[in-house]
Amino acid sequence: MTPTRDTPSPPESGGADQVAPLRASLEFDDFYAANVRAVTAQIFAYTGDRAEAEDLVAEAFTRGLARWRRLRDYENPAAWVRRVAWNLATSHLRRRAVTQRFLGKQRETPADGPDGDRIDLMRALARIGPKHRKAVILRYMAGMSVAEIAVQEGVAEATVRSWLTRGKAALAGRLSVYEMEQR
Amino acid sequence: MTTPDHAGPDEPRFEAAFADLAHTAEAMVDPAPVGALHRRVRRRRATRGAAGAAVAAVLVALPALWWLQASGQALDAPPAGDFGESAVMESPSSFDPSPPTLETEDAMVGDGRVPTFDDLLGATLDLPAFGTSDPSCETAPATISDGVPDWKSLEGESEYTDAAETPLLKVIHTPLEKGGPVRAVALLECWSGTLDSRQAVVVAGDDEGGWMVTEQLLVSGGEHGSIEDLAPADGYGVIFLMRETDEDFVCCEGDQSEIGTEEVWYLQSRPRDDEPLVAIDDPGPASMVTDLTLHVKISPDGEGYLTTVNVSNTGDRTSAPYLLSLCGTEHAGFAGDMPACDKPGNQGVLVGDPLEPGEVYEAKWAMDIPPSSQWNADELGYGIQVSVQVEMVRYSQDELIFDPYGADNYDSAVLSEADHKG
Repeated sequence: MTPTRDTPSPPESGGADQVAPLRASLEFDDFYAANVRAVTAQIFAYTGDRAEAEDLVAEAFTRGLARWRRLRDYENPAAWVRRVAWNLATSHLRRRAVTQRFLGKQRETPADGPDGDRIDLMRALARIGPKHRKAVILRYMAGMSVAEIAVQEGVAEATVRSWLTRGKAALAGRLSVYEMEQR
Repeated sequence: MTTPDHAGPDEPRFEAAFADLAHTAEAMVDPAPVGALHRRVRRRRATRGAAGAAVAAVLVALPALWWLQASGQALDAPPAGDFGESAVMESPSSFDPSPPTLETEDAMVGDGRVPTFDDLLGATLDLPAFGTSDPSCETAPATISDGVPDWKSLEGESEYTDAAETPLLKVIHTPLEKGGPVRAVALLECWSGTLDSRQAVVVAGDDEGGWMVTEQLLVSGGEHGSIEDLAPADGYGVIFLMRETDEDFVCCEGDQSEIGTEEVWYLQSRPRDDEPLVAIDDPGPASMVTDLTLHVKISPDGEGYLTTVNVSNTGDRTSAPYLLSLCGTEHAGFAGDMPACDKPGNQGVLVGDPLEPGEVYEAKWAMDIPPSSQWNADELGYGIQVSVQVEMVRYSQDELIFDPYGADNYDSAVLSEADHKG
């Protein structure tokens, strides 16, 4: 399958003000249907918690819906929503990290994750740094280029390359350990 | 997929593994029905509409009051600074849609009024851009909301903020030039709540009873680092506490030692001086940057147990007030409504007074722990656990407040089944 799911914005013939509310609403519904699962899957991989990911992505799309008249004219509205979702996830994870520090080591990796090799990958992702994790998810699940990730994160391309290199090395190390454990 | 620009020998393996994970995860997730999003938006608009209607009612009432006064009817004037002023502040015409003008001294001063923190809540301001490239950060106009956690309620941080609102963290009053008038400097952040999306701006009264940004002093995310806090500088100007934001997460193994030490430094902004922004080593009395250290233990006490918590100021500055949070597992047996550890967020139990360097505050709580036959599975496996956390109450006063040594701000104590006498 092709991991890239962001939908290119359809060309519009008129201004946002000329679009009937119903049509705009239906456009949003199509936009939501086309993008929500891919974004949720990425945030799920990042947070390790499916329900949290669903809530965060719903909030991101709600914010997109609230400004849909403006957003629909963007070159890539899916990128806007994805970015809001990632911002929400980052803030949420930061707060959760505080809570987890507070609660000690009681929390482990997700209980509702995928199975088999995928759970190994989810476990490995959960154990690498958040920036490295974000970079590899955006690269390999969202199918974004280094340049696109750099723009989204507001950093130099070299920084993204560094995150990817370190993230992949850390993942490879973790996955090797799990493979050895299973033998 | 785009062309790999950092491909290595593992590239095909990664691509295949992540494609498989994406496929599986997309099938697993259960997104909210789109109708739920439409309902959520309608509900929020309705809430905002109701708030707007209340403001509109006051705006309509004000001319009526003036008309009654002008016509000589007996009526008490609205108290100065009461609802009359706030109503004007909320007026849709109270902000200037053009960008802040910084050319003249008049523009920098505004109409001479200096807002307080509370004055700005609910106001709309045209802000300069945040340093982040996040397009969802509202600037023109931004609706200002209270971004300071409600420490007094002991609940700590709230959930994420509405994107339509821009949290205000702090307002200080200081002259910006030697012998100059006192100005208000506000620390604002984008709703996303990250350090790299903050800015410090000067806010003054506009000519129409509202508030306007007259200049931006510093923005996070650039070459200078990220703004953690600000305080009046000695004499005039502003001191900024800057912080590196690159890795302030705890990494993921649950090892508290990884919280580590934050790198912080100070910048002094005196925008009318020849050197408007300089790095300084010692912020002087403007600093409450110190190290609070926390210890907790469980000890026998007669028929029961005691939880003893010590908060020490092991730094070299007077601390700010601090929030002490504490929670226990289900059968920790604290008297009263002590928080349980499965509740998210801060479980604040008290706000402590400032501590001098070397000073220690001790608090004790009695525990009546039942026999282990009543413990739950986690408690039988890991013991009765008490966890504590301390955090200085940020933005609570003019001084810079920060604890850069986070690793010792958390502690926990365990009473195992084997050690339990019951």
